[in-house]
Amino acid sequence: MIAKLGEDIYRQKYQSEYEAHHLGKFVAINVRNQQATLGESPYEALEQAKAADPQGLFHLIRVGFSSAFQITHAYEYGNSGSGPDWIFR
Amino acid sequence: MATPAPVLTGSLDSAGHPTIKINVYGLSEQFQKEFEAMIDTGFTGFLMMPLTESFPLALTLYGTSSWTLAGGTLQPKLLAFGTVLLEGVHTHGVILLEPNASRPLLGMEFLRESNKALVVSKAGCFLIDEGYMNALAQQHAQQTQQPTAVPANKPPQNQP
Repeated sequence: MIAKLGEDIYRQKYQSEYEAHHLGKFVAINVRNQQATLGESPYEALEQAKAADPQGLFHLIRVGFSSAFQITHAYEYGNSGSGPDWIFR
Repeated sequence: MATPAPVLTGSLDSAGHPTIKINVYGLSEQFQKEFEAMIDTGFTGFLMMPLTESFPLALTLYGTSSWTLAGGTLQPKLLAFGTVLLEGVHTHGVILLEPNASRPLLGMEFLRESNKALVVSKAGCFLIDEGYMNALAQQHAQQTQQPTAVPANKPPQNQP
């Protein structure tokens, strides 16, 4: 599973250093070779990572955040469409 | 005003959310399809698409990202590369593919990348060019900095 591999690689190899120096930036973890590519935006990080390895499989993380993206609405994006379970932080 | 106002108009849906018509495509423009997208300033991403709607658009899969649910559970999401076409302007970005979404959702990253400011009124919504907004702000700042000339013999107002 790409997401789990990416999270594990990030936690083991990059998290402490990146949270000290690159807070708020986006990082694309290539789960094929464990390389990390930083960018100011998701697009920048992923495009640079893909340019470095066109066959790569990437997992996107925002440094210092629990999710790469945040959404404060629930409306119809909920599993049931009824509750705040999909309010991300 | 030297800069013409490049204004695009959207509408409000039945729940009062601002919506606008966009075209989305992946590998080539020939795959583009029109959608009525909701604009949500509480969404930090570029565009969220219903997964099933994304198949005919030929989006290029990047990989994944994890989202944290309110209960703390991590849930993986698919990410793809795609382009939003709005009034002839093509804006590239990272698209989240969401199985539970019912329609596209435009977020703050789209507004940043396309250099648009969102204005919502009772009548609808407007995507206004950032350059025009900046020119307006500068003009307003200049007007408020100029002191108003008051005739010396005119008594101050609001006095008994």
